[in-house]
Amino acid sequence: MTNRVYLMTFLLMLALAALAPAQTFTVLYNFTGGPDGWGPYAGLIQDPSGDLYGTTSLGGDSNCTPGYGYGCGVVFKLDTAGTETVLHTFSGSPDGTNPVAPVIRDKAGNIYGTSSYGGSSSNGTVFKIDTAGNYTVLYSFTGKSDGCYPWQGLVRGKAGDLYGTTSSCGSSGYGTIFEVDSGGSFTLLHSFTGRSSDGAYPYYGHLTMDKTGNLYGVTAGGGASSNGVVYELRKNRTFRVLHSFAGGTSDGCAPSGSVLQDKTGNFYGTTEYCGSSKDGIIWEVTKTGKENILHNFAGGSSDGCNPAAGVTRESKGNLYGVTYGCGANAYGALYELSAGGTLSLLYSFGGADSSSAPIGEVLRTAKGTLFGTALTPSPPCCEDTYGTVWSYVP
Amino acid sequence: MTRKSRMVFWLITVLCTGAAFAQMPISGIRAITGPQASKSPVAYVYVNGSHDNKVKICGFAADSNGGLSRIPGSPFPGTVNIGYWAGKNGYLFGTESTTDATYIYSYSVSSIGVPSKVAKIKAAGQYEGVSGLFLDRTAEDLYDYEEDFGSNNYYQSFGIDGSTGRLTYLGACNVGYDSVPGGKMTFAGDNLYAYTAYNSCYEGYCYWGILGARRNSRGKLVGLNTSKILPPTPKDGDAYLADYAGADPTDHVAIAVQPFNQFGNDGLPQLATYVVQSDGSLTTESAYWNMPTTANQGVNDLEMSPSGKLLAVAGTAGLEVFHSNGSNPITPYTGLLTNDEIDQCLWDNDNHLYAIRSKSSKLFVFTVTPTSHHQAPGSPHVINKAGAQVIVLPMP
Repeated sequence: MTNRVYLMTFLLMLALAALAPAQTFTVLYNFTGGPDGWGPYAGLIQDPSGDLYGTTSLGGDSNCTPGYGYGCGVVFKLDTAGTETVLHTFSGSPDGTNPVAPVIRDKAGNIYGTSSYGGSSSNGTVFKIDTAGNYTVLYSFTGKSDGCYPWQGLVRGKAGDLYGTTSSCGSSGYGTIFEVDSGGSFTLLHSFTGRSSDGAYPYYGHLTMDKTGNLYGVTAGGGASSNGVVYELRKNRTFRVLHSFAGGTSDGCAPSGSVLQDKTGNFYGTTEYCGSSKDGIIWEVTKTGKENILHNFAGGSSDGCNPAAGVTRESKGNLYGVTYGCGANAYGALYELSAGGTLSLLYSFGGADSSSAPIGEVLRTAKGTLFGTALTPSPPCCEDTYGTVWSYVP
Repeated sequence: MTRKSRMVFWLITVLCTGAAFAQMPISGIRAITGPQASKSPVAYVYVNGSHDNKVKICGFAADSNGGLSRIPGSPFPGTVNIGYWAGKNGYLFGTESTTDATYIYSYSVSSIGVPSKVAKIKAAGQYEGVSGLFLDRTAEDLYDYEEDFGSNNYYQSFGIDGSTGRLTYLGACNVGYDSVPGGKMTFAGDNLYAYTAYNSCYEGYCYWGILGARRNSRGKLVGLNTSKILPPTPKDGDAYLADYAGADPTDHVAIAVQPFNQFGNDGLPQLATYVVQSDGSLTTESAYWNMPTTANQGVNDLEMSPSGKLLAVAGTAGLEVFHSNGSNPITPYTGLLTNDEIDQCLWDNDNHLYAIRSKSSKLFVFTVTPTSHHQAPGSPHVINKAGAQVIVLPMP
């Protein structure tokens, strides 16, 4: 090969690189730890105008009770210009405190969510913020048979009823599945028993509802091996374990976050631990309960570890998600798992952008932009940051 | 004894019993008189109570149904913190009062449950005083925990003379900053290793974890520097705070752990299972997703049943019992047996669980087996100004 050919090849590669779309990670908002919020655990939703909505578990009112001076959390909106508006500042009891779950929004623009603590007996709430900004506690958990500490968000049925879970309490202490109607009337749908044919401890994300009103979710514990389950709660309240995670190195354990269902009815999600490297897996479970492990997280600098969020899927079958550990900087990663099964790290958290430990699920828009939150500042260099909202343009 | 002298004895007994009842309100308790006296007790139960504005020992005999009968002569002078049977003799051990815990007193317990002070030993001198007493599994040795409110907390070891109840000082084991809730350790099945949970904050730094000790050939506790890992938590940034420990007869240790962060507790306490290795290190498969939660926001006590199959958890919301399953995860069983906060609980050898609530002066008794549970007749018993500790001396 002559020098001229080398030169031409080099120039062609340069030209292709210039033509390729830039892959850009951008911090859209840095929380200050003050009235604007601190520590977003949850993922985001987007309204038709492009505004983003989410929650922070701390910040807001530093005098709230029991905020210990750190605040009790907020519900926020972030517009496309990057301006944050606090929609509600949690004040403790009987209001609510420390939301760790995403919010949902109805067509009218009302927002619904859960707070993990607070309410009339400090066991958490289901709340509504109407379009005028009025905040209403629809239901306060008592910590008894109804459950306590809702760590997951809500899904809204066709009739406007809200469905969610609590992470603890209930008849066996392992949490519950509930329905709350628009008037705040509570119905207990299921109490997790933690046994082999049941689940225990639903954490993060939200339930998924199919067109017929059946609910799907994961629990971190329970099942045949006490390593968590994918479950179905049919509209007639029949509960069924679709898959019990075996744990160890052959399967995942401790699934958390949302379950994603594709058009053919298959389910997708993640486990936080176990798998071949004990760093969690990405799984697919068919409607009949057959599991296919799509990826075993290997940890280290070239892969992620410990996903808590579930996955987002685009029409071609590629999956997107975050891990809160590992990656190039050891503070989590944003990944893409192609339909063919190849995992690519799109971004490693913990660098100079002051974002680390993403917990909430990734939001993907129709144009392919990814949005998410990161819980904590990066290593000691960045102690003045209190979590971020970020975007990634592939 | 002639017929006349027997009559005089019964009269004195009945009169004394009546006088004692008048001075010390107790509900639901029978005196050991008449037909009840013929029932063989399965355990003697002691609680510190108030009588004439003095702390005294209230003693009861427990029958096979969990019913309690007051021991003749009760309340007795003194206070108790721990008890055991050795051979034909039973002994109780206690400090003289809750405010001056310099001496540990030995009480010999008669065949009908009457304690008599027989010996004492100066336990605290260089330290702040006795704040917890416990025995090894074979009750050969007694241990006390002394908290120095600073950097020097100690376990002291004492040998027990089984024929006299006298204590012999064996030495002390410094555990540094580690502050142990309740003070006591729990001995694993082989009686070689003992464990407890600790947590404390000192000069802005917080310490928490599992404390281990080895019982040497003389019975003295010595520090055990081995691996004792706490389970992963459900929330990134949280850690589990270990609170109390209880061991079964086959080298499994249950430990109450509660997620917390710099803002306080972050969820209900859960129950972890550990396995004791040959070198005393603890291993666990427990994690946030396979440990049951307790209904108690705060745990006040944790007691494994003698069989190791049941685990009682006393706390702010009440008393609950779990199935303990060896190295497998602990599983819920009874739910809350009472909604009264419980300070402390203890098992006898006949499936009875005794639980005390000092603030409401209630002593609860439950009969709990792995397959059934119910409150015993007469429970809860109201005891005037009951202390926060119940002592159970099962029959040998």
